[in-house]
Amino acid sequence: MPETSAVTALKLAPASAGGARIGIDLVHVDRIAASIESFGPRFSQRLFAAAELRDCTVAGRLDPALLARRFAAKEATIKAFDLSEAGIGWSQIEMTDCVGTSGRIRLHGRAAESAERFGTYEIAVTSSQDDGMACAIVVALPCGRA
Amino acid sequence: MTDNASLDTRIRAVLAQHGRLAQDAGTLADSADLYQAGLTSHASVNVMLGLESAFDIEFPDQMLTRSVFSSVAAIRGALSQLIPA
Repeated sequence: MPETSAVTALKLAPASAGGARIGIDLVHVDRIAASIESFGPRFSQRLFAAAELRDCTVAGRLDPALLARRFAAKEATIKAFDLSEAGIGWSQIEMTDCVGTSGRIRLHGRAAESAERFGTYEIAVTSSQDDGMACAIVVALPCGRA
Repeated sequence: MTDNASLDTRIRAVLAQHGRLAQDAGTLADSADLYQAGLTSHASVNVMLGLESAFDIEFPDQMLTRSVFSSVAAIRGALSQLIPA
């Protein structure tokens, strides 16, 4: 009897088709804290936009858990748009409009140019953390063709 | 001038310190896939910053790709473009 499961029937749209895109990433919060300790501003300023650093500052100190969520969001975006070979700085991927655990991703510079090859997208992100891990899921939906 | 052996030793020292690899950075093959050896995206950031400190260089954004940090040989190739001869 032939196999007819949903998985074998699934047909993925080609990467250039302009369909929904998704990415996920998981980060150890204590490792982000260790990076801040080891590299200081070189780490934080290289990876995060000024507004992100402002949003992640609690009582005058950078909160590693909040930064871990944003780092995971950036990596999830890289996966969603196949940007790992695009040659972009992490600060070109910015998590904005954060309300609770949700927000949006805004792309800048080469990151925006590279992602636009797939079309124009609204990019939403949600993040969570538990037991020392931070996770982010990025979902990008096409909102028209460039 | 930095020869390849010295460069390799310093690259492997940075990998040992920051790469969180499942294997000994000192004995990895030149072309071994560092991501297969346990390098995560976050650890690759630490490796990049560690290399910048060790060699007093800065990786330009266009070199911040997964493949640049995929092996000792790939890192050596990238550094050869950034370290003055």
